[in-house]
Amino acid sequence: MNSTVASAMANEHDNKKPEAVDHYRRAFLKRLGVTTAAVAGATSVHAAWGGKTLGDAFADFFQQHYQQMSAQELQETLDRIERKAQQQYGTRITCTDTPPLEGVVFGYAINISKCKGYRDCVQACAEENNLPADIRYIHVLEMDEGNTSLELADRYYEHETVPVEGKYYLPVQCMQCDNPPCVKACPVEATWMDSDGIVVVDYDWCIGCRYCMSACPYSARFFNWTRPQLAADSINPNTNYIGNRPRPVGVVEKCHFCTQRTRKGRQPACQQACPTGARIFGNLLDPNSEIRYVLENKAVYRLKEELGTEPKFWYFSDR
Amino acid sequence: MLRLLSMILAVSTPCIIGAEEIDPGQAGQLYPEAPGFTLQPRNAKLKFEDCSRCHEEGDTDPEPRRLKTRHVREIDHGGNRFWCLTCHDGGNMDYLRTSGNEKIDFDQSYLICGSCHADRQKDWYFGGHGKRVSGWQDERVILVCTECHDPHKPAVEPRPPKPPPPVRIGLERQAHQPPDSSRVWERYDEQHGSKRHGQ
Repeated sequence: MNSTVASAMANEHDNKKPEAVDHYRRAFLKRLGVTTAAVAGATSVHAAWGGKTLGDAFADFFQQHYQQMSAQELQETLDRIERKAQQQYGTRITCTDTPPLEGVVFGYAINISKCKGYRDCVQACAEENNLPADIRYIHVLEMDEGNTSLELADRYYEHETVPVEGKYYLPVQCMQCDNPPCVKACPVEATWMDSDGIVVVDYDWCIGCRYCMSACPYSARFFNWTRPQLAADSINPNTNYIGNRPRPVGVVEKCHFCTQRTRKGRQPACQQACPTGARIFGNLLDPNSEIRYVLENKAVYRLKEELGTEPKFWYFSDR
Repeated sequence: MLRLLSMILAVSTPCIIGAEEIDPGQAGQLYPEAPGFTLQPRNAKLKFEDCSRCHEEGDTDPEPRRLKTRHVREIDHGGNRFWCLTCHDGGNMDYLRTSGNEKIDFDQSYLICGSCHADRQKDWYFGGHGKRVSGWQDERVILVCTECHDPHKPAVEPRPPKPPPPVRIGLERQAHQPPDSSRVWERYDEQHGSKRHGQ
C-alpha cells in the first residue's frame, strides 16, 4: 500500500515538473559545480564551502521547491541532507520522503479533564523532532479553574507535583487549521496544507520573513534565530524531509503531527508519551476511529473558533 | 482488505488476550458496534499473582473484616462500601467476579469497573477514555483500567512535572503576571489622575 502511494507520489512529482522550463542554466551550473567540486576535492580544500563540497553547495543553492522536485531531484536532495547532517553534527541520519496517505485527514483531541500537566508530551516531542534548545512545539498552559482566557495562562509553571488544586492544564500546539492563515501569509508558498490536513513547511524554501508567525493566532510557529544546536548522541536519526530533519538557521518551523511517524501508521510522539491517555489522534475520515467517537459524543470546543481558522484540534472534558 | 477482515474478526470476538481466547460474556453484547480491540496483558505484572498458592479453593471466609496479612490494608474506593469479595472471587482467588456473578480473569477487570462507572466504560470501549498503545492505523491495542488505576485506590497520585519550556537565548522569563482586569483608561486614571485630554 505504502509503496503504491510512494510511487504515485513520485509520478505526481514528475507530472508537476514543468516541461517547458529551460533547465539548461541549472544543469550547466550543476555540472560546473560538480567539476569544480572534483577539482576542489582533489586539492582537498572543500572546507571552504562551509564544509560542503562545491557540488553540494551549488545543488543547495539551486534546489527546487519540494512540490516541484522530480523523484530524482528529491532523492538527490535527501542524500544531500544526510551528508549535511553528517558534516554538521557528526551523526548518521536517514532522511526520507513521506507523502500524505490517501483517504486520511488527521485530527487531534485532548481531554482536559485527564491532562495533569506532567509535560511528558513536551519532552517527547523535543526528542522526537530534533528541536533546538529554545523551541518547543507544545506548551502546556496552566489555567485557573473556571477561566478560559489564554491571556491568564501560565506556561512556565514550576511545582513540586502536578496537578495543583484549583488549576487545569491546557496543552497547545499547532492546531493544523483547515483554513490556515499562516499559509495565506507566506509570500513564497514555503508552507502549505497537505491532503491529509497537515500544514507543513519546506525549510529549504522558507525565506525567514516570519509573516506566518504573525499571522498565526495560536503562536504555534517558531523561528530559528541561530543554527540549531543539537548533540550528536541525542539526534533522532529517523527523519523526513517535511518533518523532523535538522533545520537550517533562519527558517520557521512548527508542529507537523509527527509526519515521520503518523504517515507510517504510528502515533505522534506526544500521544505515545502521554501517561494519562488524554490525547486522542486519528483519521477524521474513518467513522470507526476514536477521534470520530469523541467528536460525535463529547462536548468538544476549539480555541479561537470565532476566527474561522477551522482548527483540526479539539478539546473536551469528561463532564 | 486485511484490515477489514481483522475488524470483522475483532467484532465477532471482541476480546482476545494474547493467544488465549476468553469468553467475552456480557461484554460481547454490551457494545457490539464498538471497534475491536486487543488488551495489553497485565497478569504478569501483578504483585500477588497466583493467589491460589495460599488460598485453596473454597476456603475463603466470606465475612467482611479487616485483613492482617500482606494484603492491601485500606481500600480507598467506593466510600467504605467495598471489601475484597466485592470484586474478587471467593471460590477461587485467582479470578474476579462481576456484579452479574460471572467469574472473570484479572485482565477483564473492565467488566467490573463498568458496573459502577458505566459512562467511562462506554468511552473506554469506543476509545474516548483509556490509553491506546498501538499506532493509529493498526490493530487497536489498549490498556485495561487497572493499568493506570489501582483498584484499591483509583485516584492517580500527583507527581513532579518535566521542566518548563526554555526562553530564547538572551531573554529572561517573564514572571507570570495575569494582566490587570481593569480597563486601560481606568489604569491611566489611577496613575495620572482623572484629567484626560479633552476633559
